Amino acid sequence: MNKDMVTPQSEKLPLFPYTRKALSAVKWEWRFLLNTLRSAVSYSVDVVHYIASGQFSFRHFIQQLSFVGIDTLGISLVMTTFAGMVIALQIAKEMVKQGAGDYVGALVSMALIRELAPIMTAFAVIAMAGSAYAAELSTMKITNQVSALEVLHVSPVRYLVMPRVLAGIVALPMMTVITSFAGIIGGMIISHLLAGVSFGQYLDSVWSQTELKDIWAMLLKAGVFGFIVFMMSTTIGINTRGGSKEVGLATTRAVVWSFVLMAILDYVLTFLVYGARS
Amino acid sequence: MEENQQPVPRQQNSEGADADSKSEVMIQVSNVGKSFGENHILKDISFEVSAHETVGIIGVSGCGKSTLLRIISGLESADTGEVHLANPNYSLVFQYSALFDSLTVLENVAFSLIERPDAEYEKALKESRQRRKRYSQKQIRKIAEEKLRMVGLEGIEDQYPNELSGGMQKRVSFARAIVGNPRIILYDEPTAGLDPIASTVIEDYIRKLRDELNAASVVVTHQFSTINRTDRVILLHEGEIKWQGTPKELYSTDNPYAQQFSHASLDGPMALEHK
Repeated sequence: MNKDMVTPQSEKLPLFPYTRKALSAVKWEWRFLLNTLRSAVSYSVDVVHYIASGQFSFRHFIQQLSFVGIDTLGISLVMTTFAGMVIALQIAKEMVKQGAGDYVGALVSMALIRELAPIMTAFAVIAMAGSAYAAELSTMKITNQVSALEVLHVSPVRYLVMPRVLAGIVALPMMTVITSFAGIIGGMIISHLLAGVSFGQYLDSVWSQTELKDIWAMLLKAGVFGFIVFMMSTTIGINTRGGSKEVGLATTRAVVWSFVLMAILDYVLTFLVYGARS
Repeated sequence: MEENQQPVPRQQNSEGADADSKSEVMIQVSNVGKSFGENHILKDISFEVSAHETVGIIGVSGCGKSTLLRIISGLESADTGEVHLANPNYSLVFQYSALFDSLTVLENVAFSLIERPDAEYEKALKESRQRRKRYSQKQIRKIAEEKLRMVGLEGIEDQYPNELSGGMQKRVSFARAIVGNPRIILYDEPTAGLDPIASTVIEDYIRKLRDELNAASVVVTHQFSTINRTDRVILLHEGEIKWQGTPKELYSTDNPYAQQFSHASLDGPMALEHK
């Protein structure tokens, strides 16, 4: 080897190689998020246009609704039921000891209705349906199936994005009502078994402390989560470029960004609904 | 669906009533240019394809043939120039089939009969005095079966694409492209990977569509059997049209590009390495 061609290691290495690499990755991810959000906004406008102009397939919507609603309901039920049981496990004994047994049901239901049920249901939906959609649509994109739709004069947003996003907006609130109910029942059983709180005492507490506003807020959160989860998953999927590695990346990104945006929106919505109280 | 993609100016003739005339220009590609970063894929490409004409686009791999086809079909935007299609009813046969893997063969073939197209397309059809016919489920099945029979496939209607061989998938994709009787058909290597008999079926059908529908076709291909059955051949290299003529002339011309291509020679102006 020619000696002149060998660069000394000290000259070759940048001063902070990992910092630069990490910064570049953050910059790239930030740009990716901005592009995705921009596309998501554009697709949302398209979806509104398709609905307004009657270009809506009820058949596709029902297909997706059954996938999101039925296929992911089981796991959502398990997660929220155990969430309700865990809250009861943590507080029931102590509250009864402090003479606040009448408030166990209220506390469990408040935690579930206001926060845990919409969040945990959305978690389950992201894990099962959001990731599946991102993988499906990104595979369709890289195998030219999305291009085939365009050539057949069928808009991919209308055919692929719209039914999935609408299914999310409709399914999540319905699922959240069911899962919050299951969580409250789970909490009731544990409160009774561990702290001797009677079913009547527990349900009275739930009923007296739950406001209509809490129910509306829960439905609103679930609907917004449904929209954001499926809009992110489908937008990321449909804009994938490359090969099988990118399909994996798209799926991971759809899940991660859905979680992140959901957490941010959860704070914003909670602040808007309950913020003025404090 | 690409981000930041401005659609290439692709005009469609709204006065398409007399589009049946053989001399009518169905595809007009004017000064089309396309770059990916520093790589200039297409430079100032211009040509026309008339009704009842099949044009073959040939050239070494990576010379921009498929990109040109994607620009004509509207899947890719051109940086410069414009594409004019005289009829909105066009179709594209993809290189790797691009069948919808969650649908059966029948649903794939009949896709454009089952699914409602975009309102913009329906409007363009109306303006060119054409109408999208609506069929019953029974009629749709019959039409799809007939198209499958035409490409030599029977009894596979209820199978899924992943249950078929590559060649069969290609033929299903061909059946899907022709089910709406398009007036402009773009083929991206329609016979690549097919056995000689299946290739002949497809080549015959390309000619049949040309004759029966008065269709204008653009065929990107490397296969000499397919090239020989076109009406005109355009040879692309380094993003430019280096030669065009009839398939017969391809073998007799003095043009060094055409000579090298037709003789599959390593000596000539077309080097294998890419920039």
